[in-house]
Amino acid sequence: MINALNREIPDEVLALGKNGVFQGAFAYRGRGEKTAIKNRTVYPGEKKIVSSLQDAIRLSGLKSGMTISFHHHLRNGDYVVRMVLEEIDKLGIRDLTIAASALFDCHSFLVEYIYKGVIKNIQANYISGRLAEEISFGLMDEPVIMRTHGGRDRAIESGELKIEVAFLAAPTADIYGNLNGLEGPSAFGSFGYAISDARYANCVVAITDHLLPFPLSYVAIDQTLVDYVVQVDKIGDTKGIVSGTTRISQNPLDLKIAKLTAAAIENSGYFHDGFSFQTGAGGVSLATAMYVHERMKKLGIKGSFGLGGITESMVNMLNDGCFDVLLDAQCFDLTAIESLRTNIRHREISCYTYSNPHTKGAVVNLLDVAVLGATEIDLDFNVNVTTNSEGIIVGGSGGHADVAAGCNMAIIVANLCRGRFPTVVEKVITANTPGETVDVLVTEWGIAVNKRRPELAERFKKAGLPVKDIEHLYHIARKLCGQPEPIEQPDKVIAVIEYRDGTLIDVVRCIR
Amino acid sequence: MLGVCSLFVPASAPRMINASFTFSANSLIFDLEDSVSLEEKDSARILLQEALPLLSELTDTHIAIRINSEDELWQEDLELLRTNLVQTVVIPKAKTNRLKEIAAKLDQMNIDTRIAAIIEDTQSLEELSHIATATSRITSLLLGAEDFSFDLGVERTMEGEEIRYARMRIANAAAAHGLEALDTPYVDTKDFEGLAQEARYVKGLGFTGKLAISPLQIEIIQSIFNPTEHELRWAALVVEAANLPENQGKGAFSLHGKMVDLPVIRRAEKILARSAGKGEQL
Amino acid sequence: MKIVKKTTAGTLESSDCLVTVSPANELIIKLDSVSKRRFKNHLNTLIHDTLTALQIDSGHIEIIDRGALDYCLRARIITAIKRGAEEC
Repeated sequence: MINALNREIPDEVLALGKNGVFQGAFAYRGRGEKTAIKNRTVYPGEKKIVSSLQDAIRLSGLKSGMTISFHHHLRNGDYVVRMVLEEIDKLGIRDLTIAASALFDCHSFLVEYIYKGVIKNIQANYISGRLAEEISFGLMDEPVIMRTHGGRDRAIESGELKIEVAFLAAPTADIYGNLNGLEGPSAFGSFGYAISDARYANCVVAITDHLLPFPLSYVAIDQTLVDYVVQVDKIGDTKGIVSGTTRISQNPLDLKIAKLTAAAIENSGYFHDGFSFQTGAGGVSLATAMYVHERMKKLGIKGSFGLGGITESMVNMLNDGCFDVLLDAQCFDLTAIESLRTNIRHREISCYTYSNPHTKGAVVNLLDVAVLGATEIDLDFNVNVTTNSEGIIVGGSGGHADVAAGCNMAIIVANLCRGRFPTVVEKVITANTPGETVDVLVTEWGIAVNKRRPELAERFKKAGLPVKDIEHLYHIARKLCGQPEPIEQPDKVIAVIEYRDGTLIDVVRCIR
Repeated sequence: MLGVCSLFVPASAPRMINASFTFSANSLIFDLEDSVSLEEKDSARILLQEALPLLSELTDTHIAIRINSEDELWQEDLELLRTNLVQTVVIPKAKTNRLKEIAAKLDQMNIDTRIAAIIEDTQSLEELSHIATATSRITSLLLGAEDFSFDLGVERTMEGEEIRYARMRIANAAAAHGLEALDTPYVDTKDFEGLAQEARYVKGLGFTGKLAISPLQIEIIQSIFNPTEHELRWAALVVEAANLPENQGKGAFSLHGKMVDLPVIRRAEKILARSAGKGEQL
Repeated sequence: MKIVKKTTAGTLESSDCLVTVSPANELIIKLDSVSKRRFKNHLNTLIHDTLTALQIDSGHIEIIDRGALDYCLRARIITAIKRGAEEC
């Protein structure tokens, strides 16, 4: 079946998209469902502390074929997924579905568990490293379901993604299951991506390396949602959290892109008091934040909120008076964690509040400007953040499609070519974020503006910025790189890409 | 003309050549001299030979090459000019005789390429007026302060006292002979304050531009040496007024209460010409 | 031209390629490229065309490519041949 982006969704995977195929970023008008779950009663005198992870798994009632979930707040420094899988394997449980918000290179061991049959299915919003590669080469029998962060929360709440047991790595827990991410040796800051799991899973097991007596003074996840608490030596390595971020780029090309981006933001029409802003954690994004910060100070602009994915750059902007508040669904570095801990104007929000489309209004709806990345962008401004130019999975939407849909101006920053692979292509290999939600592309060769936003192009031109047609950038890329040959792809679908509203926006096929 | 900002690009690294495509310097000087080892001179030449057509197709930027000063090497370097894509050849350690030799070779090759001379030793400074008039192809005088101060036998300093005389002579000779004068590169590529200060200072001495060794220096150099909006508007007014029939043939005329004579008109024309020379991507 | 000694040109830096040529009785081309999955045919054609233009019909040509653009591949092949070959 062909969807609204002209992408073919094969019949055999149609059933995986509960809301049909993609018809447009805002086409699906179904009401968000709230699934009813049965509450377990914990009576006075009953204890939640379990002496071992294996006991907790036994108590959870986990059986073969069920679905377990993990959040990704420890990013590439997570130890919990491995600990849990080891015990599950020992108990002889098989054919599980892992529904993690994201999986990184430190989770590459999952490949062995897949071969062993412990894991049958994976659902994640972002997958990188060896696991992603093996999946791309056809490791799994069933297609992986990749959603957006907001879409995963939607699916959990509607019951489409039914989680039997949620294993929550918790930096701090009290003996009755109150959890927070702010304290403890493995503090990771915001707990945003675990909230919906905690609310809707049949059973919630908290795994902590910092157990305190009741009650915690700060609670991110409430005791009434948590079944069991297990104490372990270490839940993760916080150094692995910051491995996902980089320093501000020193590369002159990156800095040129960042300067152009900041200039585009300044001339967008949104750059005045009340301005709200989100940017990523890559080298170009951080440099852009630095330039935007400079201009806000120079022009005396008082922004309303910074959103993210919070990094040191954003914390600096908060402390410098650029924003009233930082809204934080995830901390990308130790400065962000410390700021969340100590500054009342830096507060954590759930992924649900941040980006779930089927609610009475997510924060992304109020965002002015977002700076986002891309592996590819095509002539219709559709964006790929899942596969690289070779067709191998290197990531996934994460919050990309959510933020682009909600904000007033979504800016993609990218070099025109990576090596000799062009970023601007005729048709993206994998469509994550539909072009109708993407407004501006900034490369070192110039700025392209989506034809849907002529007023932005006018403002940029008036400010003397180098505005080019995206076709022009495409032709420059062609001249530099040549015409890439089609990827050799057998028919087998190895992943389906679900848009934030649950419709199927694309598929990823196996690579030879 | 090299323009107000000329960026050195080592001809040895494809990564740097690729990056140079998008920098908005007024001109790019692909270097075959100091940044290329002896064993790799041939490699760099061929790399440039193959890169220049692509570069010319994708950008309007003025293209120059810095050739070697050793015999055998510079003759080979000049062969690159046969591509017809090199607009200026930059001569290090410029001497009158060598300039004449090169100009003769270019005549023989029937090539239009211009010449820029780097003054980087005391002998070159002694010969300055001869260098400036050695050939009609010469458009620019460049200062190479590191080698110059070494030749003078003094320490190179941030304050630049040791090159003050050299700077003034070069600026003067350039102005006297209608040439560009580009100042030596600012070596601390992370110190933008210092760069701006030095650029302002040499502009005051009469330099028309400055060499850059990092793309991050381009914007600052251009902002200081390019005519301001105000200057451009003034220049346009002057030239327009000079072309009015009632002002033709007069020695001087009045514009907004100020006297405008030939030197003023010339200065206005120079300003307009300079602003037209900014490097642009297609 | 005929390759008479083993020579190299280029580097393994990003956007460059390392070309090694050595004498052989037939034409053997070995390409290890980070761009292979999308540019295999293009690269092979480019290598063959460059060698043909230099009138090389035999030799062991090994190329390790780190994402070089066409002009760089051609330049490194030409340089290696010029260094290692003679007119025949």
